[in-house]
Amino acid sequence: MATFCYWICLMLFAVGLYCAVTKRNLIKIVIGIAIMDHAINLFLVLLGYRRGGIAPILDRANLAESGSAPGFAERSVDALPQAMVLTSIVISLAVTALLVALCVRIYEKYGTYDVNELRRLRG
Amino acid sequence: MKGMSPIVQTVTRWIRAFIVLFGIYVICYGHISPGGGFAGGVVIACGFILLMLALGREACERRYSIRWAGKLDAVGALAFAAVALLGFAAGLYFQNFLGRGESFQIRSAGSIPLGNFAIGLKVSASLFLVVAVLSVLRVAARRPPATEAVKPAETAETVGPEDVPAAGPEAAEAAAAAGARQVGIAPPRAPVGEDERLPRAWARKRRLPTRRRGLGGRR
Amino acid sequence: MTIVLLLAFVLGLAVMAALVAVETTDTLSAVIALGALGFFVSTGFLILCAPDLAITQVVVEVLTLVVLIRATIARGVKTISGGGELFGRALALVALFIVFLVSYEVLKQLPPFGEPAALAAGAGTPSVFYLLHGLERTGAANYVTAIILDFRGYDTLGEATVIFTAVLGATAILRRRAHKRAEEPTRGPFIPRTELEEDSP
Repeated sequence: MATFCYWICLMLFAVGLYCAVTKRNLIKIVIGIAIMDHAINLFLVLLGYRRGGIAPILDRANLAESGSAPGFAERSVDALPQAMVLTSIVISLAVTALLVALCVRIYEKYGTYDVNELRRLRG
Repeated sequence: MKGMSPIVQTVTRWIRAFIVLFGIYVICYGHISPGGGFAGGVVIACGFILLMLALGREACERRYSIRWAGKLDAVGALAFAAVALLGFAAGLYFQNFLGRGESFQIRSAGSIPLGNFAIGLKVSASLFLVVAVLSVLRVAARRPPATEAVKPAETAETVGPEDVPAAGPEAAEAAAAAGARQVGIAPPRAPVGEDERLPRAWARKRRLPTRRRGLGGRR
Repeated sequence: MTIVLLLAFVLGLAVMAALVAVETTDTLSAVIALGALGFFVSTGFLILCAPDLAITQVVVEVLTLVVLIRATIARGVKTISGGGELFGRALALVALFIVFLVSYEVLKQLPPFGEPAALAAGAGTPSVFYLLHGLERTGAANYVTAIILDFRGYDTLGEATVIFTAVLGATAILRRRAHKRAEEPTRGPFIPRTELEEDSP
């Protein structure tokens, strides 16, 4: 029943994909790619969520005297997708900056952000 | 790139210390509380980028040169690789070679704090570098110069982001009229809307794409 | 149940912000809508018990806004007129609808939301292993940091390489060479600042 969270995430990805495919302006294409990045990160974290779970960070209060944390592994959400998404968020920033650098260079050289006009150029 | 008003500059100079301190805190306590190298590195980069936005790029470049940002970036990446290779000291690549230590102290969890420092240094230097490099170019004038004697170099210096719309129209008329007198056709109108199509005479002379002739919708 | 409703609400707001960012023609509105999308995604991360990700997503979103504004508004691009012709857009919508139909079958195969198969009791997956033995093997209380710097440190090395390469590429693209500045009128109406030192590190 709660699968509609996955559906909303898929809709977000579809909005980004539509923008990246049909728009004519380079900046809109970059915005579409950024939306797709957000949707994918959200989807990965959604896959790892446990109902009624706690964050995968130990508190000093949870620590028993023996140095281990009883019951933590049964209540925590999945930490592995979160670790992968943490790096993915910063990578998406670096890739967006690279795309924007490309756009800026194109704008200087040709004076337009329009993809159709850029396609008609020669040299 | 121009800076902002003195109020913003003063407040930024005070606040920046706290932002960088918070970023260092997030990096150091990365293995105890939420955060880590990536979040802390991006926070430190935000602090320096805030200074660059407030002071303008040249003033910021006098304090923190961009070349050093690039070098620190490489040093951070090499430091992380060094942490990985030092794992050989314990027998395996990327082995956590320092002791485990007791939990919830900073000096614990082996080589994880070292990795956090390296990643924090690398991410902060990289992001500061890329935003600084994106801020170099200023658009001189949106309308083309009539001849090469119009000295576009000095318009480049004096024009900032606020001045472009103001200086645009009259420079555009003068340049367009002069260009038209040269080429011998009617001076081109200003393009519809603000999306910067190149005027026909100037573009045709240089064989660049001209304004599109009414194909389809505007959206 | 309330968590699911709250999450659905936040994600619905995120989809609306994405639609605004896609369709609006004003540059400032598009960029601000993208920033709002990032904040909603960060709130979603908080609801899903991922505080590291929420912190990182918020500051990364701020930097994305700065970068996008540098490219558009600071260069005087105030409106973005966008879409292609009608046939292309209709075809894209039809294709997306077909993708939705196919993904319906795929999403039925996923485990229900809230019971990840990777954490089922007795599964020998790495996730369970990291949660059970993370503290005693690494000594770090933050399991996400323990995973990215100890258990999966090689992935972090790869990620540092990707960021380094992306920033290197952006710097190389925006480079100006000093001896080529007095050239070609076909470069367009933009004259770079020639007295700035060529800031390629």
